Amino acid sequence: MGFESFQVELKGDANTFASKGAFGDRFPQAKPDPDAIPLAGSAFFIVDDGLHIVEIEVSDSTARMSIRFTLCHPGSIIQAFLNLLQDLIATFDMSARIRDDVRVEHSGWYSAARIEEFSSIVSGYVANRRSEWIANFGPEEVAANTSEVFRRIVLPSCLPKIKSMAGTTPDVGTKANRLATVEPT
Amino acid sequence: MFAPSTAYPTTQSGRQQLADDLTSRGLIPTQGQQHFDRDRINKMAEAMLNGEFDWSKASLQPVILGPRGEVMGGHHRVIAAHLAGIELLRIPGPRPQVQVLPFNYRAEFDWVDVLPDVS
Repeated sequence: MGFESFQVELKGDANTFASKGAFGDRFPQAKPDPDAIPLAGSAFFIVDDGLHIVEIEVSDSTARMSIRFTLCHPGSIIQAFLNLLQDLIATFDMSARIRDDVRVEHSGWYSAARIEEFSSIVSGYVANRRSEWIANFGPEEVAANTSEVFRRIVLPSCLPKIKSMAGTTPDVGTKANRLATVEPT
Repeated sequence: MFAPSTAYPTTQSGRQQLADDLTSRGLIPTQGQQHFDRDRINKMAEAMLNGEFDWSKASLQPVILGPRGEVMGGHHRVIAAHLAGIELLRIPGPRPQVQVLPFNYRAEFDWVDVLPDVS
């Protein structure tokens, strides 16, 4: 997905976690995600602190994770996400990069030693993406996973049934804030 | 078993052909290359071909298009289904696999710019 969420990717080495089960054992605050679309070689978890829901995909074959949250979360999600990110990086000794459209100088991998710099960069992009979301889907703040955001916000905004994949509906105009770039603030 | 010809291309010419195919379908990506994961595309395509893809759960988070065919969400699924030769609009079930938003607010790209590099 993408337009409804912000995502960071983490990578480790072969010893990061020997199996998907090991991830759950070492990070017990993560619970299995019943709403994820299953994919071979991946396990899906959520971390729900009661105010925010962060979704985690763990790929054991390549020692990678992706973690994301939906953009309709309240603003406090930024700090909660960064705290979780730092926790994961420390626990599993991983590096991180933003999995989003970012400037070239921000597109690389950041190790634990550069976590403060990375957090600052992430905060800027998250603020922009949240503004983009609010301008198009409204200011309702919901601590929801991707599936619930689709059900509550995205799908009610969609048009009736379509007959082909491309260009089948009249362009009824864009929202006022058509953003051409995703420059960090 | 996953037929090699339906896996993500391993040559530049194959990547260009895939980009041309997707472009010819009138679909326009709205996410840059940083988003894409070649292995994910292959795993999805394989699951679709093997009948293991969970279309029911996928329909709860369907592919989202903009009014001119802009792919707003579900880029991996669009590419995987194309590689697997599956038409997303023809997947049976109580909910559609593709929905359309009446607006697009994302920057747009060309497929050849956003597809993952070949190995």
